[in-house]
Amino acid sequence: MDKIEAKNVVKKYGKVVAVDDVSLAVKEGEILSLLGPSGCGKTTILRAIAGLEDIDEGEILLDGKVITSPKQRLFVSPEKRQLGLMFQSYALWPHMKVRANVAYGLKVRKYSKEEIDKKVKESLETVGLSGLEERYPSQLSGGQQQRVALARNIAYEPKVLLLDEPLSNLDRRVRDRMRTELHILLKRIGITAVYVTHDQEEAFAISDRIILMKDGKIVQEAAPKELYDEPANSFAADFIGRANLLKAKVLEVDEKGKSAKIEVPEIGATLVCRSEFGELPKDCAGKPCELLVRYNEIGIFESKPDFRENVIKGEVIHRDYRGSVTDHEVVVGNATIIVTSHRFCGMSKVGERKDVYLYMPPEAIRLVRGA
Amino acid sequence: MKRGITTTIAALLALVIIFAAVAAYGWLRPTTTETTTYTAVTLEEKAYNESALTIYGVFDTGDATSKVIPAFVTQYPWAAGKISYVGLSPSEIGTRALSEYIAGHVQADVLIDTLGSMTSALQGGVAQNWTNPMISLMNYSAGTYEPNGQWTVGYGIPIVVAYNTILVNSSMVPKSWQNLTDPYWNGKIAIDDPKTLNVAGSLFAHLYPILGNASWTALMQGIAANNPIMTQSAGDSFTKVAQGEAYIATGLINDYLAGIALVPPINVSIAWIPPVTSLPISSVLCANAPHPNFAKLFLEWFASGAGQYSMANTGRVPSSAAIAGYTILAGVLPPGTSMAGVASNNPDYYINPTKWSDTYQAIFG
Amino acid sequence: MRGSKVPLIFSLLFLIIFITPIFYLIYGSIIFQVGGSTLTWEALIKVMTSARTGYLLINTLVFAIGGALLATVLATTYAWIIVRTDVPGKRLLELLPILPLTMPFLVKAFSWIYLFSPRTGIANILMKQFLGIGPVFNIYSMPGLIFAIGVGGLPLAYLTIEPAVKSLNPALEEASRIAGNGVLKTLFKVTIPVLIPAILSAFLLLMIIGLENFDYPFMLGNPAGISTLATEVYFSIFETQPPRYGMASIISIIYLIMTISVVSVYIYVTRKTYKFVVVTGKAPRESVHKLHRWKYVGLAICFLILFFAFLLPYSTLVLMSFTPFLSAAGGNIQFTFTLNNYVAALNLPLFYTALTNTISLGLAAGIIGTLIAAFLSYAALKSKVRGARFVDLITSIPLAFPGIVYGLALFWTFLLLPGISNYIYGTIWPLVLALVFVRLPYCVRMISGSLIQIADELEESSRVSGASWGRTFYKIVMPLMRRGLLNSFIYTFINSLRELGAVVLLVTAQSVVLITLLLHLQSQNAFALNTVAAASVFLSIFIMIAIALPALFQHLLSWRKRKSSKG
Repeated sequence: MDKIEAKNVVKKYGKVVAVDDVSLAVKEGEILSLLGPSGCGKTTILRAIAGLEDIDEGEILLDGKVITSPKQRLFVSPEKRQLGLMFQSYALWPHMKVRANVAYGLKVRKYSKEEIDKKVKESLETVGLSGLEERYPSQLSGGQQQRVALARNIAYEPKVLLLDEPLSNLDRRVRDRMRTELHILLKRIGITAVYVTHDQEEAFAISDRIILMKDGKIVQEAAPKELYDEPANSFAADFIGRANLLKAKVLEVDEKGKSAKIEVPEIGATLVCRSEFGELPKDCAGKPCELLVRYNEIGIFESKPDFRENVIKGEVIHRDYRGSVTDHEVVVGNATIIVTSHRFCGMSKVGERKDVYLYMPPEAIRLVRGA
Repeated sequence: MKRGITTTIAALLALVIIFAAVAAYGWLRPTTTETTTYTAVTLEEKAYNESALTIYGVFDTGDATSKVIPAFVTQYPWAAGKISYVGLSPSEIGTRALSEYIAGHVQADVLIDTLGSMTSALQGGVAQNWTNPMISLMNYSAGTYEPNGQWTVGYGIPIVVAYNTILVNSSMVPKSWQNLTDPYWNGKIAIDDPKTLNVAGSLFAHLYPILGNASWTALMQGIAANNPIMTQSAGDSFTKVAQGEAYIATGLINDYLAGIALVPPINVSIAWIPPVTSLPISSVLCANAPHPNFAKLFLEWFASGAGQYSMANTGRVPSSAAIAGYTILAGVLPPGTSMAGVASNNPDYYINPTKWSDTYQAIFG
Repeated sequence: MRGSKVPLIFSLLFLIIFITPIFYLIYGSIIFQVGGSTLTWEALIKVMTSARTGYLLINTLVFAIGGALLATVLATTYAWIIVRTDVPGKRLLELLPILPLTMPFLVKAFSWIYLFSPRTGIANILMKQFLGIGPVFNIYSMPGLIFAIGVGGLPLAYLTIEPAVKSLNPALEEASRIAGNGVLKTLFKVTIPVLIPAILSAFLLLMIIGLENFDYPFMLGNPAGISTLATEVYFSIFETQPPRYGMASIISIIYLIMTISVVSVYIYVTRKTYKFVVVTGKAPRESVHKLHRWKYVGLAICFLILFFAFLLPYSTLVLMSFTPFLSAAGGNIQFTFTLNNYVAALNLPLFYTALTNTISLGLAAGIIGTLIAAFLSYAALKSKVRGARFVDLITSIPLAFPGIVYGLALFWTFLLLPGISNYIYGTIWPLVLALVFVRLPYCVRMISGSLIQIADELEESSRVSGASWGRTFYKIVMPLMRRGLLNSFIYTFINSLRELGAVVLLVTAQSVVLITLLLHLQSQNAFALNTVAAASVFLSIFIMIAIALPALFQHLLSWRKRKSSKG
């Protein structure tokens, strides 16, 4: 049985459809991310699961029991759902000390004083904050506050932990560190989690499975690797990793379906594309589609490199130096291709030259259907 | 499922039930019913059983609690602490008694108020007809009580015209009412608002039959033309003339007596313009009084020698002519002055108060 | 969040409880058809178009507008000087405008009368004695009335305008100074135009208060024959024989039409402001205008304003309380001092009853009013859109009710309501209800200011953690609203001690309160003025305690909190 199930959920705000016929399922012990740009409906679904929002159509089930169903006029209030929710803003109660914050859910459930003390201590230990019971939230750093929020949620052992962009308010460094820690923690506790974020890297680091959403609909549902390697459409491709997208036309596909010749009118070249993973999308043949190649998977050279295929010439119009990497904006034909080069790769020697050669390895080129 | 709503509904229901219970209790609470038979011995017992008395009265609460009520308690020691005297303005007494009567919430057992201010209340049915046995025993003269028993004896307070001796030089002291229309007095006269039918209202009404319609109207308009300072009460008028804010005022003699007893005494003297009248204060047994027997006991006492004497002690002229001889007014009134109950010559004033109120409103604004 | 229905239910309950008296306002006059003045359509039209009504309307409007103008000008000047200039002693000057609140309007009226009566006012006598001119002042006049309510409105106007001045962006004024304009020119060309919304809302609020005021027209207007709608309602009942209930109702209705119009304008003008209480930090020292020697002029102006608003009336009151009854005729004043007045005040037969009633009244009104306001405020801010606007409007209804009109409505309600009135008539509960009602809009706004700073997420996380709506409200929302709740409580408490119009019709024998006791003594007893002054000093001391205690308490709390969290 799935831990959480959402069936054909629709939610409208006036004329705007925030969630458009979304169905999903979360397995026990799984960490699922809802990923997407703002306004895609991910937070709305999360809040609907938590019981903080109503839905217009559809059903939501927890452990097989219906908790929200407009058709059956059924709505279980949030306090009865036994869930946990971590907020972007931590939502620690400022007038209560850390101990009281963490003990809150336990007090509601009428645990005895000794049990409460024990569980509070355990939770704080788990998140690595032992000894801070007597502080007020205002006396803690952002990272510490977020841990308290986590401790607060796990103390009463909810069925599922919901997280609404919990790391967005943290500094970059803290965020990166917390990301890993959170993943380890969640796995160690073994709790089922639904994680909402707009940051692709974060989703990748934390989750077992990702649901990518746009405009209230699900775009793709897959494990991180699959999402990265085989984005379903150009939106997915662009969102998941920084990629160049070019319109392309498939000229011919070989019999095994493993490689194809593609004409890319914008850059005035014909490229060869090879799939590492399986078959190329067959229905691209003869139809217009899009070609995807990631910024950091293109080679950039001062002089023409010695490759058989997929070498094109272009002109650098702008460089974006970012310390460890450099983005080069290269004009090829009518298109602008961005190439990211590392500091220590030989390509960084390309320095100030304006004319460059680009090489796109055939395995790096992917075909996607139009979004 | 929706626990929040259920608790709210339960709370509301509880509130409604409590309200209903309170209302039912209040409605069903027995109200004492009285009979009007009177026997000397059992009235006191009945009064004792009623255990409380509320009086709305027009004289000072200070005088009530230090002179009048203690005298009653001397005679009936069990009444100590059970009498609630509420001092109100003359018109407040009439209004409250009337409102409470109409609404069925009579709170006062006894009213002691100027007759003029009580008239509409009486006409509204506020009083119980009851003949005070003391009337015949003490030989009260007609005019001090109402034959049907609507109102009974109390006391009177001489109305005086007081002037500030520093501001007014002796040649200007008025000798007749017409003198007050002299432009000299512009802005210098203080009177309590005539349309409240209190001191000034009654005094002017008393002059009406004496002067006749034309002269009286001229007099009124003349006084109004002098922009008199309208005060809330006779006491207020007296304060003004004592302070010197007004040069002359209509007031009551007990304020004068209190003022000259102050240290330092006020610089006020009285212009005795005939006719000298006294404001009649009567007592009333309230219809639907919560404690009618106690009320009757009190009213009897009030009309007895002891009661009338206690009023005299406060500087007021008791209705009993016999006791009046003991008053401390001796020596204050100029020899040969006779006093009439104000507007006793003008029954219309007590029968049609509205008309007089309107007339005053039209003239004085 | 899918909220609880409790706040909305509360709002409806409030609506019923507080609107029922309005029904009785009309019904009562139909029942009390004494003396032939009844409430009929013809009667209503006749009164509405009469000359006297026009006269009353004009008087009321002139009084209110004049007073509001004066108060607004004074408050703006004061606020600008202490916030935007380098005048010394700011910390103290910031707190002083609250002081006038310790004197009820009625008590200030006593002081004004003592000072500015045309013949016997101390000021006039001194003028005559030392300058040979006079009488200069006459408080019994429309200018006198406007003066009284103008300086009396300083605290409220200041409390409304000062936050706006504080949140001014100094860059605006600096730009003007850099461009070459002097301080005053900047003030008039830049500062004031920017402050206009705040000034306008303060002006309207004070105008509403002036329109509804009973105390000053009663004490200062009536002796000169100046009547306003408020005094007309009172006198229709209490000073005519027989009481003209019908007329009182009619006047009340006309009164309400006027006040509702002005309040509607006020609500429209301020509809957004209180929802977005902008609390920015203090303007840094460097950005105030440096007035150099002129700052002492600024200080003098502030002092002058405080002088008239508080120092003068209060010291006069104290003087009155320590002197015996004075006959000031003859032009020479000699003061002798005595404690007799205080002794007399304490010996007043009803003093302790009135005192107990007053304090109970203040506490009850404060607690109940704050609770109701908390629920209503929550309903207005946190409910779904349509419900919120509805509640918003409901909580603004009391603004349009002059205290005396609502007092009249309650008078009849508790006289006529079957059953319940048996237990309520004669107690302080009608007074509690009246006071809660008239203060509610202010309480709601104070609490909203706190409530709006409580993020929805704090409640949501509590709900998800397993706490019901009620528990969340009690454990999370209310503690976080503490400041707003406390302010609301203090405000209601203090004003319960000061309010006259709403209670004057409702006090009965057993429910007398200090302020009506003072009024009764002053108007009914000769020579009682000085005793009244002494009793008023007692009253003002209570109010001062009520203001100071919570501040002390808060200091204590935050000191303890700092101590304990250092562990």
